[in-house]
Amino acid sequence: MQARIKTRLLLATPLIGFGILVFFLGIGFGLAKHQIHPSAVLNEPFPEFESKTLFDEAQITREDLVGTFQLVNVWASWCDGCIVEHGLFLELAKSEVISIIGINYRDSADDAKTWLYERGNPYEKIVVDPHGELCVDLGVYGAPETFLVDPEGIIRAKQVGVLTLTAWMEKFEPLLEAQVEQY
Amino acid sequence: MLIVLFVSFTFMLTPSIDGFVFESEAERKRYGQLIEEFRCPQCVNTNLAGSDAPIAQDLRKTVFSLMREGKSNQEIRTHLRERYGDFILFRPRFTPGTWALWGTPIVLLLLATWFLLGIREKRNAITLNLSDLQRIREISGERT
Repeated sequence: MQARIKTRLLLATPLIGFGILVFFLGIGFGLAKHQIHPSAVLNEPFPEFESKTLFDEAQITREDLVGTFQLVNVWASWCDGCIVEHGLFLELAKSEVISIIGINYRDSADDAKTWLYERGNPYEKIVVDPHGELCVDLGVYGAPETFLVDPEGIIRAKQVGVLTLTAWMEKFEPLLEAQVEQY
Repeated sequence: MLIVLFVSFTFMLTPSIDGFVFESEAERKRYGQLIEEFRCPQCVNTNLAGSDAPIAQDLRKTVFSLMREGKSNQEIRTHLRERYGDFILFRPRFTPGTWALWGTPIVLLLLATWFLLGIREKRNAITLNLSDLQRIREISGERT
């Protein structure tokens, strides 16, 4: 009797192995769908940096960004997605819900300025990052990308790609409201 | 003359990749190995060495400058992982999240071994039975 059970178990082994494989592959594919861009910098401090602003070429460091909530947007004049999300940033700037900092990523100053003259400038300050050093420290994949930085300089939310109204309302706004009450 | 020319050409060609000038062949080799270890964040299944994406260029530059700062390979790996996550490492670390990844092949190997040993045992049992049968026949044949 025991031998028969053992035989059955033995015959079922390849099936069990296959089951295990399917199980882990299932988990793996599930993860891949949602975590193509995992956020390693989430809840980490905004990196130290030292650069210049786009228009007045004044020195700007991390210290200039802490103290209030900031929406930090990585953009460039060559970036198509940035045109798509630009309307939302102009709206946010007009409603004054949050101050918006631009990081001008791998761009020429002239192109960047022209782009802003044509489309309007929602940014309170613009940090230039022509060689992408700051963006590497921010774990940026490409423009556009947007971060919510709290008054202590901690990154609280991150959007890879175009910041849609839905993403803003679901990922950014609740954090802003909850934490404004806290401070 | 030709040899001298050839040698001087190869000498001129070796020290630089991406416009970086290397101090030694060892440094160039180390750089080459490091940029093969990291996944380009933009073109998912390409490493930094094989990608033309702007972000890959920036990350190669980061690797080079970290090397120049005297950082060890492990420190460079950590530096990039802290910014881009485990995703950037082609060779995953052993963490609670990846034990399944490292463990599954071992478990499958053990299962397969157990299965194969089981089959062999079964076969042995059958041959034994047959020879037993024969022996029984022989004995019974002798008797009848």
